[in-house]
Amino acid sequence: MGHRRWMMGMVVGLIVLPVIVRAEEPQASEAEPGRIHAMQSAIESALKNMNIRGQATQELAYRVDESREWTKFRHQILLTASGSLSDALDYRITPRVYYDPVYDITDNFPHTARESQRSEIELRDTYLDYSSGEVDVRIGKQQIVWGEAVGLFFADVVNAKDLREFVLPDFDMIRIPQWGVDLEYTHGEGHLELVWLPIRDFHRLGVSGSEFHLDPTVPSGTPFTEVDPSKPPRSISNSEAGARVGYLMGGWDLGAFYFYTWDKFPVPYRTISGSTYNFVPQYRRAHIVGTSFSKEINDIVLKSELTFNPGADLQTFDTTDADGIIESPVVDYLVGADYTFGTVDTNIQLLQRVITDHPALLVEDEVRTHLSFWAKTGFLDGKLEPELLIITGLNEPDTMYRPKVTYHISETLQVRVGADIFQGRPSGVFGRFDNNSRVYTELTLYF
Amino acid sequence: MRSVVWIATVLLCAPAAAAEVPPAFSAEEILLKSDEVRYPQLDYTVHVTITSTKPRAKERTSTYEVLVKGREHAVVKTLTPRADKGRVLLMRGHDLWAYLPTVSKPLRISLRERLIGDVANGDVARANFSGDYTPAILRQETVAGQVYDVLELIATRPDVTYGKVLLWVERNTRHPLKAEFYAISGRLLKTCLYSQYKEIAGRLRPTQLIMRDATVAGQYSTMTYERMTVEPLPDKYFTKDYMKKHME
Repeated sequence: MGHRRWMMGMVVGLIVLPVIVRAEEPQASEAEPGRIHAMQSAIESALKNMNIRGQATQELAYRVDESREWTKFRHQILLTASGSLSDALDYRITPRVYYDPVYDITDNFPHTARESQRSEIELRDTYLDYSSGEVDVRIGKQQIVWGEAVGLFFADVVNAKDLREFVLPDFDMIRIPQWGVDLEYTHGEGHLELVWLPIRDFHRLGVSGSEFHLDPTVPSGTPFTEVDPSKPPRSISNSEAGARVGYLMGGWDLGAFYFYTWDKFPVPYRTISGSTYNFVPQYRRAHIVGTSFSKEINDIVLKSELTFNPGADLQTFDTTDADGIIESPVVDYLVGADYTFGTVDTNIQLLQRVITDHPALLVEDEVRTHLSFWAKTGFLDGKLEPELLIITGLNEPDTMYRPKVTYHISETLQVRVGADIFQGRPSGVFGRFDNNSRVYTELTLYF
Repeated sequence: MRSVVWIATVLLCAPAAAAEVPPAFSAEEILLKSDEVRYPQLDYTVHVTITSTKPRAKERTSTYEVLVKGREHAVVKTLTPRADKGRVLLMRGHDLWAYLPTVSKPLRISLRERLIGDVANGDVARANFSGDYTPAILRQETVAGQVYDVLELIATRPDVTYGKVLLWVERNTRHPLKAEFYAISGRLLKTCLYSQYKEIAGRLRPTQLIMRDATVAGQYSTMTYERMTVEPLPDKYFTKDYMKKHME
């Protein structure tokens, strides 16, 4: 509750502060009416120039594996108000509200899932942009996106993610906008970015009983208990910070970054009592360094990104280990290429996760490899757009197929029909949802 | 009405034999002057409306705000349709990025990917022929009583949008009349008619381009230029990292 109040205060501040800043400093007490008039003028000007747009979306999903049933009937409105307060100062406010009656009109999900995913009112990207010469500052609740990958998060390490629907929503909806300061300096072909997120945030995960809940990994048939992870307090000492540099040289778009953050997944510390695993997850600090590049050669766009975590906390099946967690360096990287065949845009990517110090009985493989393929084209002058994304594991059966077709009914109305199909073993990234494949529709009205 | 315009256009463009008078300028100079007629050579912004027409299909219209800096840098912001608002295209030389609001990050793309209808990214964002093409004077033609230098432009690099271009430039005013765009194989891909000359950004310029697909009869796109303003634009506007701010 206190956090919400703080957020509202920040929002009000975002809107009112620039107005106050713009108003001239009073020279004497008799300047009060002039100041009020200046503030009124500034507010009127801001409201007059405010650009409001939005989208209303209805999403319907039906599980097609065992226990076939409706899993989603979400109605969502996303509004965006943006404008300029001065030549150097812009703002954006993005509230979102949704309600999903599937949790009220069916008994497909337990109370915990209903509480977590039935409805939400939230403030998404809401910030001030200040621009002066080669310097830009964005202050407020924002998404900070690094990396080159298509359809995946790799170098995209800054924002916490809303994974209650796994990675199925649009990426701008998966990222949780975080309060922070993003300072950017651009000079010639170079770019420097400094990021500070004073309020730590963590991934939102599906609760027990929800459609995309992630159970902790245990040996087959082993009973377990799990408590909610304890979160560190919101304090300056728990804030996150990082820097990224970029340089464009001869068509090579090069980037490197460092981010002092948290492992935004809780680390599943465990004890064993009898044959039962008892998990007490906790959040741990993390240092992540990374690089990325992209380059076009003969109409083929090459992309790559790499992250290195020198002390990732990894789960082990070794029952002699006191807490079931072993620290080890981990490298995640991908290389990919885009090419357009006629009117079909395609992308292929190789993804690998390498645990450089891999003791026996670690839950994850030493090297985990996936391939992804994406294709999109258009018919009827772009009104009909089929699209396909496939990500498949090479270590074991572990695949996600995402075919979808978008039809632009008019300039402001579109309908999408698609399927999210999971196949594989429970140990796989996608195979764990082998029984959660779904078909869905989305109807979106832009206004 | 459209038929009347079409007939007039055909009549205007019908070539006639011209006396072979040596031009007073080199091919490079003619091309440069023609580029200066088509677009300001300084920083400028312009609103572009593209209407795509296809046989047995409804017309489709999109609008863009285009920012151009020098000869190499351009930003194309999609204004309509509503569903595409917020999409931004950045061109730095021959390097391109697209910013999609649903992904919230710039994605590197290639020059040949299509933006809308018969108009390639390069058609909207890459304004000048000089630099991208090596010109030569092919011949002179008289069209509707005016003498035109017909330039043959050969792409200087393989990643230029078209392999070869023929450009008709009026001898006195350096106003371009039309262009033919060819693939490297020599196949005619598109024709472009430069029309609706009006006083914008300090001089007479063509404000309407009709790009006709040479491979599909009846398929064409009309690009209309409005509100062209010459003003200095900061370098940072033309960087990948600034694209998120263009989408506002």
